[in-house]
Amino acid sequence: MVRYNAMNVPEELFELVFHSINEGVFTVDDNFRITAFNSAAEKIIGIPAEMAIGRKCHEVFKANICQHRCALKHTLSTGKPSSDIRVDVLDANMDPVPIEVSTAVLRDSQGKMIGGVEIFRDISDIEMLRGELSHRHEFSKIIGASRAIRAVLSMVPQVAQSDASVLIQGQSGTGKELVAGAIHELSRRCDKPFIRVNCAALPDSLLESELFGYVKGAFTGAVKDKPGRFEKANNGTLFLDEIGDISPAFQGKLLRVLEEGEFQPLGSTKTHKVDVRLICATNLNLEQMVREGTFREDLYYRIRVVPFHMPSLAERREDIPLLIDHFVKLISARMGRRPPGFSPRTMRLLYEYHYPGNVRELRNILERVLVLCNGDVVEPGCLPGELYGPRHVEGYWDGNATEASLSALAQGAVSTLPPPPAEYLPKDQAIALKQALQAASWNRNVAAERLGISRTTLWRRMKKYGLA
Amino acid sequence: MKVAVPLFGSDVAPRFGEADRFLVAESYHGTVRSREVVEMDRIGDWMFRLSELEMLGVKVLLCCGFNRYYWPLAIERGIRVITGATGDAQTLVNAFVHGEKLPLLPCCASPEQIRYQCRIEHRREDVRMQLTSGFNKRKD
Repeated sequence: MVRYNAMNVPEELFELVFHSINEGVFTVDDNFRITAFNSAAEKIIGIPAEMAIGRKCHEVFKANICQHRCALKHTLSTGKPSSDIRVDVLDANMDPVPIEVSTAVLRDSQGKMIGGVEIFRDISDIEMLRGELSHRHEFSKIIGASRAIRAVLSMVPQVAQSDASVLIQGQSGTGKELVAGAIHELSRRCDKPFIRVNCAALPDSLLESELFGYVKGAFTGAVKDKPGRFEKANNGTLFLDEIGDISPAFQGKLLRVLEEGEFQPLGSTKTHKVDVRLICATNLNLEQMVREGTFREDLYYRIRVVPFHMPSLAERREDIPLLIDHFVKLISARMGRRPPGFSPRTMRLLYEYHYPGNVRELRNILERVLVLCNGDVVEPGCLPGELYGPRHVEGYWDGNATEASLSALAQGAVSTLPPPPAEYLPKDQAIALKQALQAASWNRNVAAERLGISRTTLWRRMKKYGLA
Repeated sequence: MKVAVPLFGSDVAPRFGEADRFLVAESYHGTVRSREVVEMDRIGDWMFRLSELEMLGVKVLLCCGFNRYYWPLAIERGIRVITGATGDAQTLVNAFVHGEKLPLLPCCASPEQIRYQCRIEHRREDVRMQLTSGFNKRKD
């Protein structure tokens, strides 16, 4: 029998529309228990309607706003709808999925509130492709939540406000260019050019013409005037990558330009004045080069007004899961495939590898894995050999490896993890705790504030280390 | 053996990283010997939270949502994670300690996932062991 509602529309039609739309839709009663769950919601969350209905919505969605900023709760308590709120949920595979949600109140024919409705759509592909296609250097492109990367990121907005020269040092593949781009983006010069020059890629003669430009007839082949990068970066930012690779002779020329703010293009007698913010980067130890006399001390101090150290991936190992998550989604979206899962053993191997090529190497490994592995789950066999190579076994190279350690290697039980950061080691934690308490004259409120923990945690630790 | 459950009121919290209180229970020979509610700082700081649980001696974390990319961090600290747990936290702990069936949401939900079985193998393993009741009834 076909049932009709007040508007004389068959309920089957409602069902059909409800399950046909691309947006996930679910309704809840006033206790936040799910009363309806459409097919798109099943697909996005990975939980069938029959399992979801009757459960509290936070159990099914596991969103980052459920506990403290629930949009539906806000709508039900105020009666006001909300729209396009960016939320992260965890699907049935415990994969984070970015969604946009809109909420509204459900009322019966008498106008009495009977629950709420939430409509949401998966925006993971959009977010990934938007990030990939954008050539802007955004803060958001620097992925990481570790203390080491947070320390760098916290300095960027402050440094961006000044025009001081910045020197970014760090190993290859750590994201020096991203930081340079972020400084430019947050500076008052953001709408002016950001010009990048790789100093290592050009010999002195070419570097000079590239940076300062030349006039017609300056040399054979100079058939017309060409502005240099300094001129192109006027009022903007000039990023000199691999500054440690320039010759001592060119260092002198560069210093002169930086100090006087003016230069002459090759073959010209006319002086050009420019207003350029300089950011330099290198993977070499400039301080040591200065001591050895291979890098000019005066140039070093001229470019190193604000120094940045980019931590290697080994120094921020806790960011590896986040980076894997980010790159897998990014590469999968570009390849038009669903992000695969990783078996625990694969994740462990990825987590334990020492990454001499840093984030760039991690990204390349994942790209290779996604190209070669077509399955839904990435197994260790898809990983390149170096990730589980024999160098992880102590004594392997000098022939002193024990049978037990080789056997452990075969079973994947050999850990190559570096020690966790000092603050997480119980011994150092006890010392840090005692020092903080002494510095605060044993005032627990002050000590807790200094350590960035609550009084409860402080008290728990004091008891643990016998300081209470 | 100590078991921890992130709390949302008296229920299991939807996400490990967002909970500000944890129920920590100690089991001994199939009974709950002690329970305490521990407050947890630094919402979203996984390293800190896992370190705190390790310091408390927690060996099993029963939770609802746990980003699977952080799973190696828990393993590294000797903490076994069972995800998809729902309902009242006390009831969940009792069920775990007594070796009863846990109220877990399925992780192999959609037909395509069923075809490939669970992607989170550790969880499938946990569930299988729990179902065969060889896991929870293990002596502490």
